[in-house]
Amino acid sequence: MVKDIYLPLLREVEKPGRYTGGEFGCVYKDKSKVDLRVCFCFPDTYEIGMSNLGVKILRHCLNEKPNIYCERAFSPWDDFEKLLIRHSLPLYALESGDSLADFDMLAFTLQYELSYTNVLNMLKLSGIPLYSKDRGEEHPLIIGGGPCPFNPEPVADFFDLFAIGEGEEVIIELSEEYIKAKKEGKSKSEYLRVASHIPGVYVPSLYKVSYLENGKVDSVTPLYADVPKVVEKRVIQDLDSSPFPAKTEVPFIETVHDRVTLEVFRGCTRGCRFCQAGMIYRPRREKSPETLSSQAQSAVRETGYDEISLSSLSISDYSGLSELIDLLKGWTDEKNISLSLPSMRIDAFYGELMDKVMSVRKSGLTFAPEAGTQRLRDVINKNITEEEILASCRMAFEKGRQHVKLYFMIGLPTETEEDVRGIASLARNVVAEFAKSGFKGRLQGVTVSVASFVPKPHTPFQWFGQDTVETITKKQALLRDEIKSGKISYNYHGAAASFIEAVFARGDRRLSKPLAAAVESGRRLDGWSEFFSYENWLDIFARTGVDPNFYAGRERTYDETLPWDHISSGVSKKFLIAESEKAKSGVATPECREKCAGCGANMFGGVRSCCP
Amino acid sequence: MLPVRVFFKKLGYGVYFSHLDLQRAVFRAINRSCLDAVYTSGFNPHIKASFAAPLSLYQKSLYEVFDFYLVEDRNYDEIAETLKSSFPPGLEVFKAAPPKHPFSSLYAADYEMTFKLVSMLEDLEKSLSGSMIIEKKTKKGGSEVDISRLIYSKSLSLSPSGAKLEMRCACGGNLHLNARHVEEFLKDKITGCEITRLSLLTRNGLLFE
Repeated sequence: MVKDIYLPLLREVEKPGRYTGGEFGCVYKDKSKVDLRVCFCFPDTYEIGMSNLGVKILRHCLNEKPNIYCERAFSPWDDFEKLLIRHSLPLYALESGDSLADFDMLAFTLQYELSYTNVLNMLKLSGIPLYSKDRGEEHPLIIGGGPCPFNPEPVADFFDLFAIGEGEEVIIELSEEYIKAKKEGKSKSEYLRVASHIPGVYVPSLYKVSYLENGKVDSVTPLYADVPKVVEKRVIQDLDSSPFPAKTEVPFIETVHDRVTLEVFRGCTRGCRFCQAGMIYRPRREKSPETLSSQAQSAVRETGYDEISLSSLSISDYSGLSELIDLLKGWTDEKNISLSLPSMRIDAFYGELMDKVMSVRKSGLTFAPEAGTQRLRDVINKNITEEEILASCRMAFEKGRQHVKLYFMIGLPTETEEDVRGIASLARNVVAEFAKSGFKGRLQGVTVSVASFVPKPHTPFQWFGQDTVETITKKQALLRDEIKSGKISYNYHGAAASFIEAVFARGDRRLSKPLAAAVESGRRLDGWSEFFSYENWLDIFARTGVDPNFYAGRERTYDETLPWDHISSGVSKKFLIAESEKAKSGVATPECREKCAGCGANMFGGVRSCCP
Repeated sequence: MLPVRVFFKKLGYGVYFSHLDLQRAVFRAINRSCLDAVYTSGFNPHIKASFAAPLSLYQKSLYEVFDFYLVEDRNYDEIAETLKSSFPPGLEVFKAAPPKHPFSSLYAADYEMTFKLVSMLEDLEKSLSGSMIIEKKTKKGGSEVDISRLIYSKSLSLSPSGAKLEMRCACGGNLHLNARHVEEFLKDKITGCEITRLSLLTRNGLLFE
């Protein structure tokens, strides 16, 4: 719990509940009686971090071990950060109130690239040197996981190791190895060498990166023969028996996802070519409806939440969805517990499901057509038609829904002005569909939410250049002019932030310099528009001699060594190249359940209906 | 349907969350307790409950009250025991009973303010003896309000760590004083102010039960 010395500071901040800890469900242990103290650090605010299911699962795995104590820390908002600096007080963990510097291990989850400055800022606020080479035996081991470490290189110089892929097993293996090493009096470098032998573990200091004269990566090679040349991600084979945290902290203050999150399956069979999650989480593995219903029941009992959110990629692809909803409805309605679904594929949306899901509380409907024309939807392999989109919206309207939200992206490879105009035209057609639906109420509106495309590693689009900020801004303006209906509201994500995200998404180790310089000059919370500064970032790149366009805008050739080529998601480069070529020709690939496209993810074994 | 009035304290972590946070925490605690609460009907069903008087951030309370209803009859002591174990740290249930007074009879609240003096005690006494004008921010801008008419009685005394102001203020209904406004009025003369609500009272000066 927060120490007394911090209490006066809490009177001066906007949301003191972010920094107190002490929520219902907190795990406390006697720190003198454990072998390992880990702090799970979420590099964003409490409200974002407490919404993350992955972190809850991993903390649960660690705290299940009697000899391991795992606590929590989050990025402070700028008001609290200023007070910490002014009073020379370190950032602390919410359970013990101890400085992050007092832990054996700090585990950061890297969910999005714009949080990298927060990682470094959390180290800085705790008095821990940023670069791993500057940290000694007295400093905590800094480890990273989550989706971003599929290209760990931009932050490789700051981390001691990364766990690639799903962490439930590897976090325990790393911890047990650490406890053993500590008892045997091994040094940090000795431990890291041993850790590099654990499948899924990448120790960046054990690899040498060489560059060509043209600035591209030449090779990433292990320094020793016993260190793996390629690190393969970890995969949990059986989700039904994987750990589930029924009892979690119930925040006092409202968080982004303030409800029970029920992870239905991992992976996706659709193969949308822009989607990193759809590639790196393969192969698809499901939990059974019985397991899910029973886990939801225990989570509701332990937390008191009155809402359950089903979570997965493309939820409507879950083979047991109808059965699961029926099982859940068997006990949720009488307890006044509502169900919510994430955004759905439009082709799979059906009315009966909506009726069931919406029986307790009405919530918004979100669809993701992603692109405005059929041509571009074929390029990105979205595999849905305008007729399907309109039919789904009509069904939603017929069921009494008066508001629909549509997600799109602009800046996708091969995009033309016609494709951008197509977004407005599709939205107009959705509005027109309301009139045809025969629903007597008034249409509240159609929201068009547009993100800028960021090419991500391990996807078929990893070789494409990103549109410049100027081009994206022009396209955003074009779309604004095209949307004339008062029934359509339009919002879009800042092009500059997407540009910086693209730099770090496909960056290499040379980006550690601008990152460190950014944090030293006070940059952090870059995911928040009130703190993000494009000009400031451009200035930092200029000062550190880095050309951001080399990373964001440049199109790569297939034979170029990519900075993340030594990290394997199981999906082969051969498959990604084939998909990239099919995108250029506008040819769609059927989803895995129709026909195996040979992506390579079945290398992880296991029996799955979607993998031969 | 069994009406239940729950009495609880707001201490420790409880002082760092708002009234809305408190309501959410209470609903979840009731859900965890597995007591069969009555829900509102409509588009967004929630536990049918009413809270006596909101408390601002950073204020402690030894006497908070909310009402809710159970579908079936239960022993009140049992209800209190069940809620005790499901409430989060910072919210301590000490009694459950049938409501004795309607919410409309809520009239006053007793507060204790402790602080360190920046000026002389006499200066403070003088400030508290006349009208007490504060600037109240509204949507249309600022307006001046005399809060002295909302303080029914007060007593100022020295304490080992500074000074203590005990006061009975308007609470609930049409007239209501947030004790924070008194702290705000005295801001140049005091520091390190801690506010604790001691009790809620009816017009007759009886404990609101």
